[in-house]
Amino acid sequence: MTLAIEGIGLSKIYNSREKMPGISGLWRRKKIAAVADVTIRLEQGKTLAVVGESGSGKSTLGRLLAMMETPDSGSLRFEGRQASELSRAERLALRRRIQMIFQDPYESLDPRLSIRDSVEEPLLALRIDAKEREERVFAALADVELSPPERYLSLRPHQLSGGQRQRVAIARAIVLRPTILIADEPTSMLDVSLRIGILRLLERIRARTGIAILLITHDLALANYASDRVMVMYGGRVVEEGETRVLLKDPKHSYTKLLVASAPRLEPGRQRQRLTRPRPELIMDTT
Amino acid sequence: MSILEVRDLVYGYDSPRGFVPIVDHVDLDLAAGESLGVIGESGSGKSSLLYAVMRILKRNTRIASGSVKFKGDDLSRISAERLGDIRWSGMSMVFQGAMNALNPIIRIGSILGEAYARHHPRASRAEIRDRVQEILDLVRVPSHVRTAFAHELSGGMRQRVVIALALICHPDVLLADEPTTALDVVLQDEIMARLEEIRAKLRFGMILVSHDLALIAETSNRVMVMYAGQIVETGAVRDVIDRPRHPYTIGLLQSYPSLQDMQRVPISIPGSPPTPETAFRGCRFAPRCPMAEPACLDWVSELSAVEETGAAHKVRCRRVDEVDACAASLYRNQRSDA
Repeated sequence: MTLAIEGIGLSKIYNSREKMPGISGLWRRKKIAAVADVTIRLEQGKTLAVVGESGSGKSTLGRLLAMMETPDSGSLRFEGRQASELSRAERLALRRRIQMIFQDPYESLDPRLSIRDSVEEPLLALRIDAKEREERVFAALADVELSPPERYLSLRPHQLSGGQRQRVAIARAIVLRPTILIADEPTSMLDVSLRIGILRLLERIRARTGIAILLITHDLALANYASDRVMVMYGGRVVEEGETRVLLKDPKHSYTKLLVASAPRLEPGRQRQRLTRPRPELIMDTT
Repeated sequence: MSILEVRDLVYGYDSPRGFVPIVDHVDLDLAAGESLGVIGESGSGKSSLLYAVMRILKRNTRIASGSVKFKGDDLSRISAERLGDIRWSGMSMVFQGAMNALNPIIRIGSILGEAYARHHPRASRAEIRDRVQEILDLVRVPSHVRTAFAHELSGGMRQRVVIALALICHPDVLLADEPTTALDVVLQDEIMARLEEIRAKLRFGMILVSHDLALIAETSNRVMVMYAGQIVETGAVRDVIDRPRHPYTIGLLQSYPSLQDMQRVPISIPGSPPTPETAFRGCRFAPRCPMAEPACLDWVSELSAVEETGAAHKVRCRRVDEVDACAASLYRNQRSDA
C-alpha cells in the first residue's frame, strides 16, 4: 500500500465569540477546535469517506489536506516528506496534485466562462502550449463522459443541468492530472436519481488513473457505495474508523449508530427512532 | 371531503414561440389532515405546482386554465385581497431555502409576530408574544431565540423557525417545498419527526414536495410522481413504493441508495429530464425509458387506474400491464450513468 497523503495529529482552531448569557452587549472570546487531533491516511488508488453532520469538521479536514488551511498543530506528509519542509516551489507543485470539487456546481463554475474556458483555465497557469491544452480539455471532458466534447465546449454553465455542471467541475479538477481528489459533498445538491451516476464516474476515474479520493459526505448510504474505508467524525474528532462494509454492518460508537438509524429508508410509514445525540465538545476554552 | 381540490391545472409562461406549460393538466385532491407527497427530479414542475396553487406567480407566468378550490374559493380567480387573507391563515408554505432568506435585520420574534399580526389585526402585543412563544415551543426552539437574529442561529434552528413561521396562524394546509434538503441526515430526521408530531397535534393537511423518495415514503399517505409537468403515477404510498407501475417510478426507486439492503446496487436513470420547451410527442418519458417502443412516441398519454390495486392507483404508461413482469431487470442491462 502506498500512501498518497498522510495527516498526523491535525488540529485546526478558530477564534470565535459568543454572547455572555444574561448580559446584553457583552461578548466573550472562545476557541473552537474544528478539527482536533485527527490522523488520516489516504492510500493511492483508494477512496476514503469522511462522514459526519454539519459542523463535524469534515470539510475543514478536507481543506487541511488540500493545503487550503494551515493546521495549528500536526503535520502533513506527502510521499514521505513533511509538507512544512518543502520549498515554496515544491509546495506549489504539490498543491497542483491535490484538487478539490465542491458541493454546489451552480456556484463553483464562473457563469461568464464557457465550458472550454472553465476547464482550460487551470492549465493556463502551467504555461502549457495551446495544442496540448486543447487535447487535455477534450480528454478531461471525455473522461467525465460529456460526449461528444465538441457539443459542450462553447456552452455556459446555465445551459447545463446540475449533474452536467458537476461533471464539468470534475473535469476542471482532473485536467491537471492530480494524484489526490478531495470531493466535498459532491452530490448533495443533486437529485437522488443522479447521485449514483456521479459517484460511479468518480469510481471509474479512480480505477483508471489510480488517484486517491477523499469523499466528504453526510450520507452513509452513499459512502457505502463509493468507499473502501470510512471515518466517522463528530465534534472535530474521529469517533470510528474502519472498512466501510464492516463498519456499517456493525457500528460500535453511539454516534455512528445514530447516523445509521437516521439514514432515510424506503419504508412507508416507518416509525422514526428517537435517539438523543451526544453533545459535541467543540469549545476548548473561553477567556 | 377534500379541503383542496385542483382540477386540470395548466400553469406556464409565454415564450416567443407560444405558451409553454410547466404544470400540465394536473389534478390533485387533499383531504383535511392528509399528507400528500409530490416527487420528481429537478425541473419536473413539482415546485411550480405549489406556486400555482398558492398563486404566487412569477413575472411572465400565468395559470392558463383549471381551478384551485380551497374550501369553496377558487384561488385562481378570487381577488388579490381575499387571496391575501387566505394565504398563511388558511394555507401557508415553507419555501425551498427559506432558512437562508430570513430577514437578517429583524429579530426572529418580530418576524413571527408580524405574520400573526397580519391576520389578527386586533391582537394585543401580549397576545402576539404568547402566540410566538407557543409556536416556538411547539417546534422546540429555545425561547432566547426570540430576540436573536437569523445569522446567529444554526441551519437546523433556522429551518425550525421557518416551519414555526408557516404554522403560526394555524393553517389548514401546509405546502412544504423541500423542507429539509439543505440539512444533514440526522437533522433531517429530527425535523421531519417534529413536523409529524405537530401535524398529529394540529391536524393540518400537508403537501410535501421533495426529490427524496424515502422522505415521502416515511411521511406521506399518498404520493404523486411528476415528470415533465405531468403526473405519471399516483396512489397510496404503499402501492406506489411496493408495486410501482411506471418505469420512471421504478427508476427513482432503484436509484435510491439504501443502507438496509447493501447488496442491491443502485442504478441511475439514463439521460436527463427534458426542459419545458421540448416539443413532446407521445409519452414524455419515452426517450429515457428502457421499455419504450416506437409506438410509445405516438401514444396519447393518459392516466388510468391500475386494476389490481384499485382506482386510487393511477399510471400514465402505454405498457402498464407489462411493467410489473420486468420491473426487476428494467435498468440492469445498460450503462449506468446519466
